[in-house]
Amino acid sequence: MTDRRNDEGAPRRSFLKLGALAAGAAVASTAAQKAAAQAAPASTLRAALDRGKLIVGTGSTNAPWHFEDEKGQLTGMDIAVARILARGLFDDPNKVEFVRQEPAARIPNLVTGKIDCVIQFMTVSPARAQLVNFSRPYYIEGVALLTSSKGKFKTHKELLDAGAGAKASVLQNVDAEKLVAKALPKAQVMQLDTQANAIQALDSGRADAAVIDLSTVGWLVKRNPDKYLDSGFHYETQLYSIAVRQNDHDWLKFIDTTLNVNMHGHQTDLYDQAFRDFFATEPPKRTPGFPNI
Amino acid sequence: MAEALVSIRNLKKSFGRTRVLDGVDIDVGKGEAVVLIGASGSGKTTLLRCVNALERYDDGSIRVDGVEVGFRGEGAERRPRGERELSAIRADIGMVFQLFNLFPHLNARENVMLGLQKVRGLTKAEARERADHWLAQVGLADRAENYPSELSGGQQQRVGIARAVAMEPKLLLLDEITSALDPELVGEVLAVVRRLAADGMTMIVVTHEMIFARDVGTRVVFMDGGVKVEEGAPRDLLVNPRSERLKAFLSRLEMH
Amino acid sequence: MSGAFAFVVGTIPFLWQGLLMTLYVSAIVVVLSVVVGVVFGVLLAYGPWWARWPLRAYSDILRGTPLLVVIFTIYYLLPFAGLNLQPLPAVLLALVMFKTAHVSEIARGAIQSIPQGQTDAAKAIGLTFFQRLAYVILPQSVRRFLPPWINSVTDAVKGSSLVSLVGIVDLMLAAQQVIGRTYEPLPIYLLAAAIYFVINYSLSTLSRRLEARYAYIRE
Repeated sequence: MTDRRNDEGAPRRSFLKLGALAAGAAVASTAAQKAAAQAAPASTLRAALDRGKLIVGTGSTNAPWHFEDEKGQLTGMDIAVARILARGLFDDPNKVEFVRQEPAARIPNLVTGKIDCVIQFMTVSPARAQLVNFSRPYYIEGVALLTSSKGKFKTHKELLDAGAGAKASVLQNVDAEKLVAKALPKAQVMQLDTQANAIQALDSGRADAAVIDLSTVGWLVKRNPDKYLDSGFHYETQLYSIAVRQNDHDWLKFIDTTLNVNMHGHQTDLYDQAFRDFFATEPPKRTPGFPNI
Repeated sequence: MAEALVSIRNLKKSFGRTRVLDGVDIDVGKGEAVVLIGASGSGKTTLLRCVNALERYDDGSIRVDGVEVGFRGEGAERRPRGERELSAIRADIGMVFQLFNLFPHLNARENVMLGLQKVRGLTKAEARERADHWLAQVGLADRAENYPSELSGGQQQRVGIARAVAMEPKLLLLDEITSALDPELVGEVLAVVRRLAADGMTMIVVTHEMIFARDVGTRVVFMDGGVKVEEGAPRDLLVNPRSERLKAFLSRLEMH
Repeated sequence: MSGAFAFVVGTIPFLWQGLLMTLYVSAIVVVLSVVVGVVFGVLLAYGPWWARWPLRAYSDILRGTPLLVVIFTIYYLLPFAGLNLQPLPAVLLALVMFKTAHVSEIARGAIQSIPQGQTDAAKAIGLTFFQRLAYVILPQSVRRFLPPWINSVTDAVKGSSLVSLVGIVDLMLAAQQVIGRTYEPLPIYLLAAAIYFVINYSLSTLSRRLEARYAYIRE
């Protein structure tokens, strides 16, 4: 999820974020950095290879990124990317263990050595880059407006025309109002604590549009075409990358290399299949010649 | 003269900076009933509680049947006794309390049986038999299975006496045992104590009831300000007090 | 409506494992905290100063700290002290330490509320310290211990949901995972709430029975 905004923002989560930021800041200080370096192995690449499996921190409650399928198995784009790394390490996409964590625990769990990397729709930001190292992006997320097939307004134009008569639900966040205003300048804004609740507001008619992740809109519309519609307005771009500890160069380089090969090189099968499964989109064609990665 | 069962010498005790017992000497012979009288704060209850180590005393000596209660060793070697030793000493000294202090989670019979089983080591059957005997002695045979909350004050106090006496103690301490009772219930308790005294139980009694002193006591001791002021036979002392302080004390009381 | 019912029923297998984890965590926390808490309570009431002061500090600190912070401290900071626990033992330790502090206070209060006269009478018939505890003091304390303790138990059940912070799948996280797939929060949360209600209702019924059993100890 675009986590410039506060995901699942119940009060204890903001406390969690505070706690997480405090933990992150403490670690950034010299003394704690030393301790962190002692807590984490010298090279995560070596440690993972020796261990025989990869340990990835991710979530379990957000489709299509990381969620449980009908059989109770973790699946999603983040999961697929983790399996890509596992294949790169062990030739076996199943040699990965997932540590379920809330978004606010991403940096603390990474920095204290409990996981090898974070693959959890993590938006790249300079503030975060001071605490962790980011890989090259593996996806660029956007924002879209989900509408209901039973709703008053179905397209972006209809929502725009309704002006202040349109109600939009959105995940609560410091920039939530601005985000909605970019799409619907005059609409009333309803901030809710989880993305699922923002969609629930649309279902129950309390909102005319839910302002959520583009990939989630795609996911819902594909699975419930008679219930949900894409109003057609897509905007914003955010980079999603894998996060690793600082001063772990071989590991970072390994991840970048593996991602490049799987997104642009000769092993694109896993990535492309995930793209189709979770975004209902064909990945773009790769062409030989001048490198554009 | 046979050596006294209880021998108290120069007993001293302070609570913080307040001197409550300031050098008390008392002897109690076997079979005697010594009655302590005096105003509140005279130290009589504290004295009683020192005899069975519910209070520790600072200085002086209390010997029961030749055994120093609060300390072991002599002179420079004198050390306060530990809990375990005190428990053993207390087993042979019975006490009945002003507020009864029956165990509310046990019925009358079980109240009496507890000490017999856990301290005297009797089997359940033996303890039950002895408990029932003593409950009958205090006139409560038909109340054996009642809980304290189901008994009147006088009945509770009689259970308290049975509980203390069933342990067959060498010495019985009675701490204002009728002060909390309605007047019409005092008689039944007094009757039990009178019989115990007649049967030869050695006792030290703290009381306000002068009838106790006259009916039961073999000797009365008047205490004031932490010291013994006067002692003598009940009929002498109470009718012809010698000290001014005792005269003043008696005149403040209503004589029955 | 039957579609909605079928849907809810279909989620039960996913919530089942989470429910088992919630019950498991709650049971461990309650049992360990009551055993250790009562011992600490006795020490707080009767112990020498070198036992009471550390226990007092432990109890005050942990009762004054939010459970969240206790969990974080144990989960993230303990590794720096050399103790690297897996998530489940770490959060169990945090929960047990937290609850024990509360239970020890409840136990201490219950014990100290027994009138001095009871101790006097027990001493007077020659019972040793442990005999007094076992036969006179603790049996009476139970009655005053139970109501606040059952409260503390329901709190422990509610607090067990915090294990999701370290990635353990309890009933709450299981519910959220189902919602993450189906985007139907309301029926799932209602079902989870119903389950918590059943657990806590059973606890209050048990509590009423226990209190009734000890009600004969009227003073």
